[in-house]
Amino acid sequence: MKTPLPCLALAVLTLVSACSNSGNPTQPPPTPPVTPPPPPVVVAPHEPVIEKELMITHLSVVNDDRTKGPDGPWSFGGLMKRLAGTGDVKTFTLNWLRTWESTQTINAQTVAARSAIRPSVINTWKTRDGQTGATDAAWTMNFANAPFRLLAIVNRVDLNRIDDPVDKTAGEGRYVFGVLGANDAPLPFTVIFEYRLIGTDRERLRGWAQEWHALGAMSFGPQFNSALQTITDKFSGADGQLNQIRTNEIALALPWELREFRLVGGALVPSPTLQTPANAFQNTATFTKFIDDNEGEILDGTVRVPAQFQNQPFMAASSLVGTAQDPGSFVWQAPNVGNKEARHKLAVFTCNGCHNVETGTANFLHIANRAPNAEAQLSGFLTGIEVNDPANPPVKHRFTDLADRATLLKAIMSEPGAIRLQALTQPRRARVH
Amino acid sequence: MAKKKSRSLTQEEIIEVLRARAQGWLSYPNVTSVGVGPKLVDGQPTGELSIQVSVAEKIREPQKLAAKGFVKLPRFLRAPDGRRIPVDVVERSFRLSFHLVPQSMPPAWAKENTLAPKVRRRRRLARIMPGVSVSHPTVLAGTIGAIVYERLLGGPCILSNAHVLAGTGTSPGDSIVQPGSSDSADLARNHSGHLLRSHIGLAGDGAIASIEGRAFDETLFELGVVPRRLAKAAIGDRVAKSGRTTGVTFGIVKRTGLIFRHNYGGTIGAQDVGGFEISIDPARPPADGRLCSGGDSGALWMIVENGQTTDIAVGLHFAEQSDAATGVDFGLACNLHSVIETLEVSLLRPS
Repeated sequence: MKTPLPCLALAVLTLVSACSNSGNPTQPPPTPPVTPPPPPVVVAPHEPVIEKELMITHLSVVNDDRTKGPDGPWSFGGLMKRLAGTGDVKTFTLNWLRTWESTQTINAQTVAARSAIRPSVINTWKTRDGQTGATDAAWTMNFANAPFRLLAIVNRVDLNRIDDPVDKTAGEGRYVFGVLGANDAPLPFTVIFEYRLIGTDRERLRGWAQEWHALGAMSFGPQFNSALQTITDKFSGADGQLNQIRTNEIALALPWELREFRLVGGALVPSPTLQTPANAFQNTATFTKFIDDNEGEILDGTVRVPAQFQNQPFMAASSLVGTAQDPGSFVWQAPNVGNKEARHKLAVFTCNGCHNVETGTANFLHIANRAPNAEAQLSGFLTGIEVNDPANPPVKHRFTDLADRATLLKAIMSEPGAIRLQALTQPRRARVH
Repeated sequence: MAKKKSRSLTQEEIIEVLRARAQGWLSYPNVTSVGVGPKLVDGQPTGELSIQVSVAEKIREPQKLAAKGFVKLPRFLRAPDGRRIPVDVVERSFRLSFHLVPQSMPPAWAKENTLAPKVRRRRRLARIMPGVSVSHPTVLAGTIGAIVYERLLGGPCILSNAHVLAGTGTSPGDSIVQPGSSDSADLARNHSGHLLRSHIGLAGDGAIASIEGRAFDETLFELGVVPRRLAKAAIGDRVAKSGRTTGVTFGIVKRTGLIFRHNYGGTIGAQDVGGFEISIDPARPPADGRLCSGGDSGALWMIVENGQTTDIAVGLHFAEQSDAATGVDFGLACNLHSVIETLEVSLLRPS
């Protein structure tokens, strides 16, 4: 039996507020009165509010007490402690930072060390802890002083893979941090914690979407933050599941480099950068062949860049935006490619394509690092920009990614059994950004 | 003084005489052709040109000629300068006969034929055909359902959904692009015509656009049939479609006479759309389990009989719906006959 299909559903959400037990221990507790359950909070129908439901950068959120202290639920320390689990969080965090200090081998490729991690981040942190010059072993790491400032909390239900036959997810919930240098100066260095929104069916996906959407009807302030924490605790709380941590920086060396880490065996392990081929394939026949072989999947957003292609390690160990000698710009070139649109779309799926010329992102960051009392600036790719195709100049591409995410959020919230028109919707499944 | 020998008439001079005086012989019974050829005597060329007349039956006796109603032809005609041109009558009957010779396909078409189907459906094509990508520039991509013809003027058009070719907030005259804007952002180069008219309502979700600057092929891509006949879908009908995203898939009509309500947004708002519902044909399941997907909107559903796709069209694919209880997906199609009627077009090519 099918559900009748009214037009796009009006979400009726119940926000369950926590009750405190304030019973007096010196007297027998009175017989609790029979009280009816609180009436459901009805959220008035509204269009998705991007700054409250999708990309939350408001200072009342990112400067909230939850982002501070050694273990605030939205703080760097709090997130690291939960990821470390029963392990020692100092060791867990320091081992992660030390990965930059040595050459890494990932997917049979070498990633050069960026030893400036020590003076720029580790030693800065020690100084903030009042332990300048302390050895790593002697250092008492205080997460209240961690040089990481929250920039944004981000809803990525648009990245759901609910139709994926193998790996179904409802998308991601993300925390974006900026790394701080001496004197709290924001460095060109951001870190993103990307958690799985657990859900394997459309009903659960719809549930996530509705919870985020309910935030749009609220004003920023304590109640908003409480409601937001109700959501964030579900993906980054005790039962949270980290997909990966990504970093994007030019603070440690030239050029810009994007790295990826996965939680393996209780440690953050450097991993290949998903959806990004190694720069060695730039402007090669192999890169062109990959596009030509996967043209349909690229256009539809279902392509997966494999670890190996033509018996060679294909996925990048890290994603470099150019070279140390030429760090200014990077455009994926595919000589004699069959379809230039497919080249462009694949380039946007990659880290160094999406964060550079292909999307008109001049500063390599979609969410820029910020000063303490300034909101993070967002890229044109997110807010709306028209960009000339760098490999096919007469063609322009219009990016309105946040508006597109809002459209998808609305579509996800439609009633179960609702009709889904089958003009192509945003082909986003291949994206990781 | 010796007499000067007269110059022979040239072939062009003889042709002039032929056109002026002998072409009319073609109206005579028994005459099958007139032309210029060598004068023959006993089957051998004399080296002289003549007006050669072929007849189905050569008759010498005047009585017999008259009896059959044939006209006796002169033995010669005179050129304007008085010179004689012999008239040669040969018996020859014509039988229509031909040998097919290979033709060179336009290079662009030949190149398109070499593309993998999945690629070809998403590429800009010099020769567009049903089953490939199309859209209004503000829509990402849908499918060309059929080549149809305007009833009034007879012009060829592409048929797809209104939500593919018109979207919301658009108007007739807007540019249409093939492939759809998601498959190529080169909108200027991909212009393939203009939106002519559209309709969203009980009669269906359909629109037509002109075809400009492209050749076209009426054949449904990978199904190999040209839709010519219309039918109303009945429960149990086996059907097939050729769509941009999921290609050729096979289904069974499960419910008919349905009215779907959907909010199209924008200035269109909520609309009731009539049509029918299709589920996967268990005898021919799709490889990836998807009967249809985003980008298939506009594809034609065709009747399948004895395992073969016929030229009978029943529906215009426009949406998908999941059973709320089981999560099973169904394809939704408008009644094609209603769409065709409302848009005042025909599947039949004007004679």
